[in-house]
Amino acid sequence: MGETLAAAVVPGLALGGVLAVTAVVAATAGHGGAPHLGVGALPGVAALAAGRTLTISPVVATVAAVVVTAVVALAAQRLDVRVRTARSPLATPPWLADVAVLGLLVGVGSLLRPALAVDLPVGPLGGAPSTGAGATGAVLGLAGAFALRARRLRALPASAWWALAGTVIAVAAVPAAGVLGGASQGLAAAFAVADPAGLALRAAAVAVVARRDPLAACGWGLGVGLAETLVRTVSPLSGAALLPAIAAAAAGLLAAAGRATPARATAR
Amino acid sequence: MNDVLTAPGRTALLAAAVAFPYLFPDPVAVRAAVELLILVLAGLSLLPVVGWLRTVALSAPASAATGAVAAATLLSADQALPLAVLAAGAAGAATALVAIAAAPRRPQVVLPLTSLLVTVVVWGLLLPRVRLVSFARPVFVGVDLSADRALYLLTLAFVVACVAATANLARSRAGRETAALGAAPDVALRSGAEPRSVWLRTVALSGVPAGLAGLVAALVQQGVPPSAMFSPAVAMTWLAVPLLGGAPWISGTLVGAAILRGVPALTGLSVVGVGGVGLAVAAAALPDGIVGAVRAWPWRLAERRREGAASGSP
Repeated sequence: MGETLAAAVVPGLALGGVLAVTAVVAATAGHGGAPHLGVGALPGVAALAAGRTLTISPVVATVAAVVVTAVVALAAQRLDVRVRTARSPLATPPWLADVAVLGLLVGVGSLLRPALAVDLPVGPLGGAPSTGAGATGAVLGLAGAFALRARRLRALPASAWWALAGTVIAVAAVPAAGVLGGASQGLAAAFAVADPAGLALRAAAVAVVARRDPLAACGWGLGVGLAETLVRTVSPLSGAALLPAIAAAAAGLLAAAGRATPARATAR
Repeated sequence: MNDVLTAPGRTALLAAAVAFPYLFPDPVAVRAAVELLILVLAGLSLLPVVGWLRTVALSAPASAATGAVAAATLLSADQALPLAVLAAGAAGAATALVAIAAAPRRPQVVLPLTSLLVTVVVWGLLLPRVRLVSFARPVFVGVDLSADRALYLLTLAFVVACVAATANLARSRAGRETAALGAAPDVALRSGAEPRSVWLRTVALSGVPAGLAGLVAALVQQGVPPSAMFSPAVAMTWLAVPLLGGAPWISGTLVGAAILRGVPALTGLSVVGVGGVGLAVAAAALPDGIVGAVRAWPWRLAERRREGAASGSP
């Protein structure tokens, strides 16, 4: 049991760090108080881009992941603005911009997947990082969550902030996904690939409960990451790995409902 | 909701679809055509919600998954195919109802979230717990469905039935109420429409074609299909079918499905990849889809000519 717990800690921390920074990005990019549903898929794009270029060298893979994720984040921001503003308000279904961004990121991620990829139940980041890589990913993710909420960075133009967010997410996601460790194993990058849609859902769940508070995002991100990895380690095929994220989203929605009720009562 | 596809066009398209497996008997081509028809069923299930109510809905894969499980369970117990068809349609409708029942207020805003949640729960929590069953494809009215051509023709029959039902719905009072509620809710309310019952009816009906898509997927796999076929990423692809082709029209669904199945077949790219990018392109550049752009083309051309004549006149 002790070994099981120990095996779950590093991947859990790594996933938690990535979820923390992605949740902050999702909460900041969202509209009307709700987190952005699509932008949370960016770590999946980063991990898949790194996996595709890993055969060249780990350095090239890291640079490629950062560049691809920043460019895709910029494209996602342009898409988000275009869908929200180009149509008449009557013709734009609610959430279409979020779903379009999620579609773009899931689509790019699918196009980056190796042709012979094999999905294994190792987590949404698609790999098991070494202790050093996992800890690095966790620290970078937590630091990125605070950095992206800094006043100076929030003052940047929206497109620059999104590109920066993509860069920060990629820098955290590549080591956290354990991609670089597969360089010496040849075909390893084709096994267990990242799941952008799954990451987007988890990031949105953390963003619902943490809102724009980076400290809460770090706490809930680490909690969800550790709980999910523990569930996967104990029972890999049970299908219960999503429960921590669903519980976080439920806690966030209940808290939002609690905040809304007294306001209505006062207004009445 | 008048479609660009006229009656002669529909007849010619149906004749070509029936002749396809006889002209191209290669099993790979027939299997690809069955996959295209599954995509058409998925698109038809989204048409009333996305095209008429103008709402994003992501629960079609969940409806298909429950339809597939219900059908596979019955067929593995040697039950008749018509019973499995009824069960798949009912399971799909019931799953869609869960999504709309969870959005009692402001369904246009809340349904996208509840439908996504339903898909996540079915895909992530329920499907991994489903007991894997397998069955041999049954014989239906003397036709052995173990042949891919027979399965294709059965799927085509489902598509034709769903197209006819959708076209009838579009012409009916219920369909007009649905479209009015999506385009001008105030006008719909003044004309006596009950928004809650319109939403429940439309979303429940939308689950039936998705359930049938699940049944066909189960027949193809001869068991419960893998959960990856009903993931949230697949929901993006299925949503792209009506949005890319033209959400309010049946021809839009056909065009969207043909593009999303044809491009991957020609290029070797993944269907989910093309679907995701197609969804983004449709949302950003094609507000009424390809069919809408084609319908508007003569009007735009005339407008441009009129502007040219006005600027050229002294």
